[in-house]
Amino acid sequence: MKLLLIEDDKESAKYLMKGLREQGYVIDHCDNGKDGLFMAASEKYDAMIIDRMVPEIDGVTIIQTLRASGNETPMIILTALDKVEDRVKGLKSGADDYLAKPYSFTELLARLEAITRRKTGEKTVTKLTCGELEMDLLTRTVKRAGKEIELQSREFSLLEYLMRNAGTVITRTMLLEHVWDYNFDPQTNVIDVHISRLRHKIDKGFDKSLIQTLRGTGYKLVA
Amino acid sequence: MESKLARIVKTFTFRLALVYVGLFSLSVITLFAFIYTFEMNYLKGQITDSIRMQYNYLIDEYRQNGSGGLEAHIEKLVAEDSDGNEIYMLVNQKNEKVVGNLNAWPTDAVKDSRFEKEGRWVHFRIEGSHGSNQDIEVKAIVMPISKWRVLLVGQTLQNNGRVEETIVHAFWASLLLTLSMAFVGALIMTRSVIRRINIINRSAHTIMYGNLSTRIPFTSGGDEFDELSSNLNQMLDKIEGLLLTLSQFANNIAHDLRSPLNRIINRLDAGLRTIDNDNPARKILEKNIQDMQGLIGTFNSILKISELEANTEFRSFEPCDLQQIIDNLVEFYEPYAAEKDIGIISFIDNPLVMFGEKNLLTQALANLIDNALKFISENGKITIEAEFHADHTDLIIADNGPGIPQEYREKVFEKFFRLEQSRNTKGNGLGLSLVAAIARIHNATISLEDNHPGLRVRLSFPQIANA
Repeated sequence: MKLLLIEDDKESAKYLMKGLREQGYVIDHCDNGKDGLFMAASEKYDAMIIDRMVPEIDGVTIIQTLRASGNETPMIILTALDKVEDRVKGLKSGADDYLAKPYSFTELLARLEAITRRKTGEKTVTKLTCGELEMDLLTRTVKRAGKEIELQSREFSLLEYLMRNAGTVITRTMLLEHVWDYNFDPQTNVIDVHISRLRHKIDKGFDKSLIQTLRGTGYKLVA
Repeated sequence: MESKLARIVKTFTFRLALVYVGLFSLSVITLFAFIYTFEMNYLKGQITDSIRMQYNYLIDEYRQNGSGGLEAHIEKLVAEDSDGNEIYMLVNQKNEKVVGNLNAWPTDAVKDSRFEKEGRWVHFRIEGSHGSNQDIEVKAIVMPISKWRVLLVGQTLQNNGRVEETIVHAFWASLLLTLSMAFVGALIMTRSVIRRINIINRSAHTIMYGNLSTRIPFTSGGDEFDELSSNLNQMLDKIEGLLLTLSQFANNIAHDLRSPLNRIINRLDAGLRTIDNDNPARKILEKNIQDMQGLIGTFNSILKISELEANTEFRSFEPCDLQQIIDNLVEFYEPYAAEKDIGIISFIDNPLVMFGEKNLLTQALANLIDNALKFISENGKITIEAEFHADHTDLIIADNGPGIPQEYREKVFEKFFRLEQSRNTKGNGLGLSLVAAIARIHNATISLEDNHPGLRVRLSFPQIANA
């Protein structure tokens, strides 16, 4: 996969590139908006990571310009501003996800994987499958190995998000943002309890646990 | 109304006004004392002169026309004196009446000490005329005019009595009028002073519990109260300026520290990826990342609070339904609470729509529920209910945890303040400060109460009125 990184903070960019290269990504980097926009428009990337406050042309304008020209590359906007209005503005400009600085690398990686996957498999799906797990989005039913599992509406949304991103790491913050639409960090491990409830329901009567817990990072749904 | 009067009576201004009333009454009393003394002396002098004149006239008559002429003249004078103010008496050497309007020689007459050449002044009392049983005082002069005759000429003092009575009546009437007018004046003065002071007090209250940029309003007069207000306002400008500098300083620190923090986390992350799962260094790195994330959380909270405190106006509010926010939060926290054997229930069964920022309101209520969940040990209960008033609606989040002692119920809203009991729990001492800041930008107030046992958090929203 080929990525474009537009980020003016050299140190941040260096670590980001090092980490991403270790994960097997190929990266182009530039440290200002003008060059960034030129590179983004002239080459085909699988995803872009764009800092909001880069010199010459700011991140939001870059994304708006690209989207206006029909560019549908998945984009993450990075920002030092962690205000709700900024988040909304960032997403309205056409970015697929929004990450406030300082973020952890795993958080960025998880989100990057989620948006590249989502872009490819998003088109009007009515059924999701992951190994023996099947989800019908129209009838809102879930089956594991043909056996129906009863889920509450929020548990359904939680599992849906995990299934749409099956095989990739999902952080707690991503779950909070995408399943509950919450932008705060609970001081209690509420998410873990929700996951363990869901896990209990989908693993009941089966040997293999489908939701893995990754220490210090988040969760992953495996087939 | 009565309590209002009682409040006025208690004030310093009113007491001052009472002192003023006292002084004013004293001056009225002194004035009347002067008038009284002067008028009475004047009247006495007038009577003395009139008696003397009459006496001299009679003596002249006696000298010219002898005893017979005098007696006839006295009879004539007595007949002419219709109101009985004039007293005449001529007696022989045996004190027997020759002529006059007294029944008998006044044996009880008190002699004045001074003896004038015309005769000796005496005082005595006679029975009142027309059946009135009050004695009338008489002043008179007594003089033997020959070996066989003693003459008494006098006047009653009943006119003096009338004047005296009039002065005393006037005195009481003026004193009463003065006192009542002064009292009413004191009330009016006190009320207007209180009104001016209340304006200042109300502003002070708004400033203390809400908006530091509020200023004390002026009247157009430019009087001493305006001067006080102006001075207080200047003081507030100065304080606000200092606070702003301070919060900008804090903001700058937080901003500047975010970048290095970010790099540290990146490096730790990078380090973590290079080592094996069973390497003992992994635990240390993970712990460091965890602490770093806690630190970042604290920075974010500080910045968020500063942002909320700095930017209280021009927010993009939209209609939010508190019932829906609470229902979602209850659903969100319910599994975690159940695991700790804590019940969490909302009794709000109607939409509570207000203008606000949904994200912030959610965060504030989540913080309060988080707090309750953190401190309740077991068999706990968290209830959320609404209390409707005419001009505001209160949300009450109550728990049966350890509660907060009375003396700390204000302090817990201060940044980084933590109770002894919460030192060991997760958190940064900014949760309630953030809630308070969020409440403030929504014009809501927050207060803590005792739930016997536990804590009741009361969020009062003036926006949701039920009238």
